[in-house]
Amino acid sequence: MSPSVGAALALGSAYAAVGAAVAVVAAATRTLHLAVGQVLVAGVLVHLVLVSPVVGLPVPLALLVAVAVGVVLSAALGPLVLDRLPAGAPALVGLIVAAGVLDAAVARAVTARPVVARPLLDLPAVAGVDPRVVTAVAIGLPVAAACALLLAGTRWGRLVRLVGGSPDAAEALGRSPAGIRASALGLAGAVAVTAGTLIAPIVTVGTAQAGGLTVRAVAAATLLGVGGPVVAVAGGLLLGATEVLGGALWPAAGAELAVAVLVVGALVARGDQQRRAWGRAW
Amino acid sequence: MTAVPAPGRLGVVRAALDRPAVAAGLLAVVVVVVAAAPDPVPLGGTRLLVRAALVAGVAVTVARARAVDLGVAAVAGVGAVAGGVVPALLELPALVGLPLGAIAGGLLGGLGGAVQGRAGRQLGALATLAIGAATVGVLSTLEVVDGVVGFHAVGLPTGAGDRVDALVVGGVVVGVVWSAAWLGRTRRLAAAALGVADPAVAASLGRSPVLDVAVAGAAGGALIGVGATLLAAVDGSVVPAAYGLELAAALVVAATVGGAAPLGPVVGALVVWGPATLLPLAPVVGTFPVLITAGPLALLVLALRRGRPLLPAPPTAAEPPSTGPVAARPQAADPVLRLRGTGSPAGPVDLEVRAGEVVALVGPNGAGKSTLLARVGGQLPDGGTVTIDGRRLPRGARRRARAGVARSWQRPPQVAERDAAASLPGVDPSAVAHARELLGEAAATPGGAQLLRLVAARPRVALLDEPTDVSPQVLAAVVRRLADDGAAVLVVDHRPEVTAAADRTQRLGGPPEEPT
Repeated sequence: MSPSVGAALALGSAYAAVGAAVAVVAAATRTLHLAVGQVLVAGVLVHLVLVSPVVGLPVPLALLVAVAVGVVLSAALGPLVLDRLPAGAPALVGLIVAAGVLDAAVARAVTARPVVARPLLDLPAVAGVDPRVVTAVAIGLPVAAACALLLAGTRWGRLVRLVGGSPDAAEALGRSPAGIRASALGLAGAVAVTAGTLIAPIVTVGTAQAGGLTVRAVAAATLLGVGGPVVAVAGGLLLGATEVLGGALWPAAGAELAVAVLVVGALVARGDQQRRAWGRAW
Repeated sequence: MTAVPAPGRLGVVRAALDRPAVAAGLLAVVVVVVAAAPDPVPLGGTRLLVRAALVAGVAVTVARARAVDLGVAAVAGVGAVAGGVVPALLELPALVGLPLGAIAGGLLGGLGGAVQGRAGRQLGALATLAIGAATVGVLSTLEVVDGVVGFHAVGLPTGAGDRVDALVVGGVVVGVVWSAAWLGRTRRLAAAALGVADPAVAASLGRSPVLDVAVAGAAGGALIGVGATLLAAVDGSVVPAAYGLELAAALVVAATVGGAAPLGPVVGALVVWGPATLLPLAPVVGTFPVLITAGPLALLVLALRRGRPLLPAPPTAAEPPSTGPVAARPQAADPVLRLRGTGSPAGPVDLEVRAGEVVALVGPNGAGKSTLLARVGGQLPDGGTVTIDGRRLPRGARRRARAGVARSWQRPPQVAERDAAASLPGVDPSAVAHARELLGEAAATPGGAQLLRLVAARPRVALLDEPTDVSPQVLAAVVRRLADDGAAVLVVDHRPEVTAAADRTQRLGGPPEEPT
C-alpha cells in the first residue's frame, strides 16, 4: 500500500469517527457541532504535553486525561451555549464564538508544538502497512460504527433523537433534555480527542488547523447523507482521500483548498437535498 | 380598531436613529470629535471606527440576513491583500486600494452567499468555514515581496498625521455604515433573509435564494473589503494568519450583538474591541486575544437578551403602506387547477378545482395529502400532469410560484413575517395590508406569517397544509378570502369550521366521502 493511500485511509477513518459523533450531536441538538475541531485540538495538545518527557505520563493515562478534557469542554457547550441561546443563528454564533475563545486560549497557553506525536498504539505493521494507518483504521472505523449503533439501537440513542425532535416530549417523560444534550456533546468530545490522537502522528494538529478539522468532521457527517455508519465512513474516507490528493498536488495549501472545493461543490450540487435530509431548520 | 400608542421620548430618539442619514450624521460628529481630541484618541478611535466598518459589512449578511457567515474574516483578508498590499507594491497611495478591496471582497462574499442560499444556514456555515480556512491557507502562501506582508509595510491612510488620518478614514467609515444601513432596508436583503432562513420557502415565493443571498454576500463582502483596506492602512500590515477563525468569530458576534440597525455595527464593535482599545495595558483585557474577554461578554449579552441584538433591524423600506380595498379578480367557470395522475401513496390522483372554489383534502395519516400539495407546489417531483388555466406547469417550486402557485407548510418555517412579505415579487402593497387586517394578531405567529404572504401574493392556486396553529375561524376566513379573490384553493385540514368553509371535500385514501 502506498503511503498516500495509507494516509488517506488513516485520516478518513478518524474523520469518519468524528463525523459519526457530530451526527449524534446533531440528532440531539438540531445543530452542527461547529466547535468540534477546537475540542479535538485542545485534547490532542493536552495528550501530547502529558506524554512528553517533561511530564512523562504513560500513554493510556495521558489519553484518559485528554479524553476527559475533551468530554468536559464539549459537554460544557450545552449549558453554557446551546441551552442559553435560541436555536438557529444565535446558537450557531454562540458555538463559533466558544470555538474562537477556546482557540485563542489554547494558542496562548501552548505556544509551540510540544513533542512529535507518536502512534496511540504500538501496533505492528500489517502486510507492509504503516502502524499509524493500522491503528487509525482499527480504532477509527469501529468508533464510527459504535456511534451510529449508539444512536440507532440503544435506549440512550432513542432519548437523544427524542430530545432533538421534541424536548417537551422528553421532559414529559421525566428526562432532562439539557442532560441528554450534554451527554451527546460529551460523547463527541471524547470521540474527537480519540480521533485527534489518531491523526496527530500523520498531520500537524494545532490551533491553526482547528477550523479545518471542524470542516472535515462536520463534512464527514453531512456531505453524503444523514448519520449512519456507512454515510460517516464514506464521507470520512472521501475527505481523507481529497485532503491527501490536494496536499500532494500543492503541499503548501492544497489540502485545505481541496477540502473546501469538495465541500462547496457538494453543497452547490446537492445542497437542497442535503437540507431536506437534515430537516427544515438547516 | 386598536389605538396606536404615541411613542415616548426614547421611542422618538430610537426612530430617528433608525434612519440611516441621521445615524450617519451622528457618526460623522463622533469622527470629528475623535480627530480633534488629544493624542492618543485619534489613533485608538480610528482603529475602533475601522472595526465598525468591518462589522457593518458583516452585518449585511449576519445581522440582517441572519446568515452565519464564517468566511467573513477570509473576505477581509482578501480585501486587505487586494486593497492594502497591491497598492503598496505599486507604490500607490493607500486609499487607492479601496475599490480593489471592495471588488475582491465582493467576489468572495458573493461565492459564500451563493452557497448559503443553496444550502441554508447551517450547511452554509460549514461551507463558509471551509472557504475561510482555504482562503487563509492560500493567502499564507503568498510570496513576501520587499516585506510587504509585514509590519509597517502598507502605507498609512494619508501620511499626513493621525488627525487627518482619523478624519479621512472616519469619513469612509461613515459611508460604509450608511451603505450597510441602506442595504439592510432593501427588498433584496429581505429576500436574502428569507433565503437563508428557508430556501424552500423563498423558492415557493418565486425568489431565487441563491441569487438573493449571493447579492447580499457580494454587497456585504464589498463593504468588508473596504473596511479591510482601511484596517491594513491603519495597522500598516497584512498578516494572513490573522484573518482566521478568531477574527471571523469576533466579527460575527459583534454583528450579532450589535444588530442590523444603522448604529448596530458601531455598538457591536464597541462591545468586542472597546475594552481592549480603552484599556490597552490592563491584564487580560488589553493584552490577551480580544475574544478571550469579548467573547464571553458578547455571549452573556446575547444570553440575557435571548439572542436578540442590542439594536434590532428597523422596518424595511419595502414595508407596504395601507391603502384601499383590493379588487376581486374575475372568476372563471373552467377549472383553474387540473391534476392528472399526480402521484400519492393512495395512488394517482385526478382532481379539478375551479376559480373561487375551496376544496378540503381529508384522509387518514399517511394518505399523501401533504405529498400531493408538495407535488403541485413543485417541492417534490411528479410523474403526472399539473395545469393552471390549461397551461402545463413548469418543474420546480420557483417557476411554479411565478406561475401563480402559493403554498403554506404544516410545520411553519421560522422566517420573519416582514421579510417574507417584503420578498414577494411584484406584490400589491395593499394586498399585504389587507392580509394583515384579515389575520389580526395571528399574523405575528409563524403560521400566521406564512398565511399572510400566501394571501398577499394573491395566487391563482393556493395550497394550505394543515395550518393548525391558526384558529379555525381565522383559517376559514382566509380560505374564503382567497377564493373570493379568484383563487383555486386546496386546503388540508380536518377541523369542522374549516371543512364547513370548503365548497367540497376530496378524500385521499380510505373509503369515499359521503355526499353532503
